[in-house]
Parts: sequence; structure tokens; C-alpha cells
Amino acid sequence: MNPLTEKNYPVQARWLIYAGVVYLPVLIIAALLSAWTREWFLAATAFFGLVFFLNLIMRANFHFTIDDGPFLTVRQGLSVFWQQEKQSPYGRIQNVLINRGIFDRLLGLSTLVIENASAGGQSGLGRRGTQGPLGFFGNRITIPGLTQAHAEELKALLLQKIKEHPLSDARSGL
Amino acid sequence: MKLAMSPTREQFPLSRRKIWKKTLTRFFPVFDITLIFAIGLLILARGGADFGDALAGIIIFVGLFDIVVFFLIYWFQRWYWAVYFYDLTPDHIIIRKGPITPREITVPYERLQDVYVDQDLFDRLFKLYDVHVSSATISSGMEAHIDGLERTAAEGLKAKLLETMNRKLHG
Repeated sequence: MNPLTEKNYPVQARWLIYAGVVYLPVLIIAALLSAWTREWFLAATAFFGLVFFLNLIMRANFHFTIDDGPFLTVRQGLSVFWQQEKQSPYGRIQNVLINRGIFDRLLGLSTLVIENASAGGQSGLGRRGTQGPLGFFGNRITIPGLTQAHAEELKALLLQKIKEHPLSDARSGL
Repeated sequence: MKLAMSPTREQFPLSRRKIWKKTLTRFFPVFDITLIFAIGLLILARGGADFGDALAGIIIFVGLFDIVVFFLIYWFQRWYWAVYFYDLTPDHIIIRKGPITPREITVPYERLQDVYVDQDLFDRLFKLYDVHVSSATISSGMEAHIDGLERTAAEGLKAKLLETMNRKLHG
């Protein structure tokens, strides 16, 4: 098959509109603590500007490849500062989740989360644990900002790949 | 309200009593808080001349508030129950919940570690059961459960899951 990449299932640009909104409660608390000063507004604007800019760069640097091999390849980075690449066998995928937060619903998008059984991500407790920034951290790969159709297609494709590439000791379930 | 149907839900349906159970469990804390609030107001009004009027006013106001909140909770739980989707496909189990912000988890059968069925206090009152499955991640333990089944549905679903897991593990 032709390799499928993030170009086939892109993170939509409109995700950037609300990608930083998760930080809003922190800023509201900071505002209340600093008694709603003009400096606070400037700081908040600068902060959201920075978040937007970082998300923009991370989205531009996020790549994944699904081909005939037994691995899912994901690359992410922040331009020149750092780059990371992960090869994750399809046979090790534990769950595939599709979540749609309130902004996802408003803009017609979905978040796809792929989890394996590695211990690195088990600090992500609580419902917020399955949301997260774009990219791979710990035991999960989070791809927000996908259209609903793309998220469903990608999920079906991954489930197909899990079937095609079971690992020899997959009977343990891990 | 359109039901999120699947062959699995037809075979092992979600009980309607779940709506009442969830409404009550979510209403109780609201009721407690408004009761404390009403008692607080009554204590404040104690010394006043028209205590009788104050009493009536507080009871009516708090009572109306509680009734409205009760119906809002009931309406939301009814919606939640309607869009609750779960299906046992040939390869995986898929569960989707949430009317406003849907959350969906798909777990291939080979990844299931265990199946367990439990009842909390209110489940016992309503004779409902929760069926939990999990893979090796924490979030599956939190998300992958079907709650609000009656006994036959819970037993049937558990049996079907175990039978499918067994078949997949032993080829």
C-alpha cells in the first residue's frame, strides 16, 4: 500500500483556534489573584499568543506514517530545538479512543488517542488524562483536530493493522 | 429521543432504571446543599418578626429550585442513557458515552485483561450491575465500562465477553 501520513489525515488548521483554551482556568485564577490589572491582560495576550505559536509549530512538525510494516512511525518536534521519533508496533496498541470535547464538537473535529501498555504515561490520571497536547507522550499518541470522518477512518485503519500484525506473544494480551 | 442502538444493546439492553439511579445519585448532593442553605437562612431569619412569611418563602424558593434542578438532571440522564452506545464487534469492543462531549474507547479482545461486574450501594437498590473491562492502561479502566444493566443482561454480556476472549486467546 502507499504509505499514509498526516497529509492524508491532517490536523485541521481550525484546531489552533481552541488548542490553547485548556490553559484558560489557570489564567482566570491568576487574573483573580492579581486583581484584574491591565498588566494581566497584556500578560494573558502574550501567553495565548505564545501558546498559539507553539501549537502552530508543533502541528507543522508533527508527522506519522502508516505503511506495510509492523510499526507506526511518529515524529514530532519543535523545529530546531528538539526532534523525537517513535516506532510503535501495531501489535502493542491497547486502546484506540476518540474523544470530542466541547470545542471539538463546535468545530466539527475529533481527537484520536492511541495507547500502548508502556509505563511512561501512567501519570495521566483522571479524565484529562486522555486529552493532551498534540503528539506522543508516555504511553499515548494524541492526534487532535482531525475531522470526524478522518478520525473514524484512521481508527478503522489502525484496528485493521492490529489484526494484520499481531506479535508472536500477543496471546498474553500485552 | 433516538436511541444509539447496536446488536449488542438489543441483546443486552441498558436498563431504564439507570436513568433514575443516576438522577438520584446526582440530585442528593444538590439537595443536601440546598437543605443546609435553607437551614442557614432560617437560622438568620429566626429573630425577625415575620418569621412565618420568611419560612414559607424559603421553603417555596428552595423547593422550586430543587424541583427544577431535579428535572434538569433527569432530562440530562435520559439523554445520556439514550446516546449510550456499546457494541461487541467480531474483533473489538467499542463503547461510546456522552451526549455533549462523546468519549469513545475501542479495545481489541486480545487486549482485554479481565472482566468484572460490580454494584455500588445505589446499584443494589435499583438492582443494576456494572460490567467493567480493561486493557493494560489506566484510562481503559476508567472508561471501558457499561453500567446500568439488569442481571440477565450483565451475566449474558460477561459470558459473551469471556467466551470471545477465550476463543481469541486459544486460536
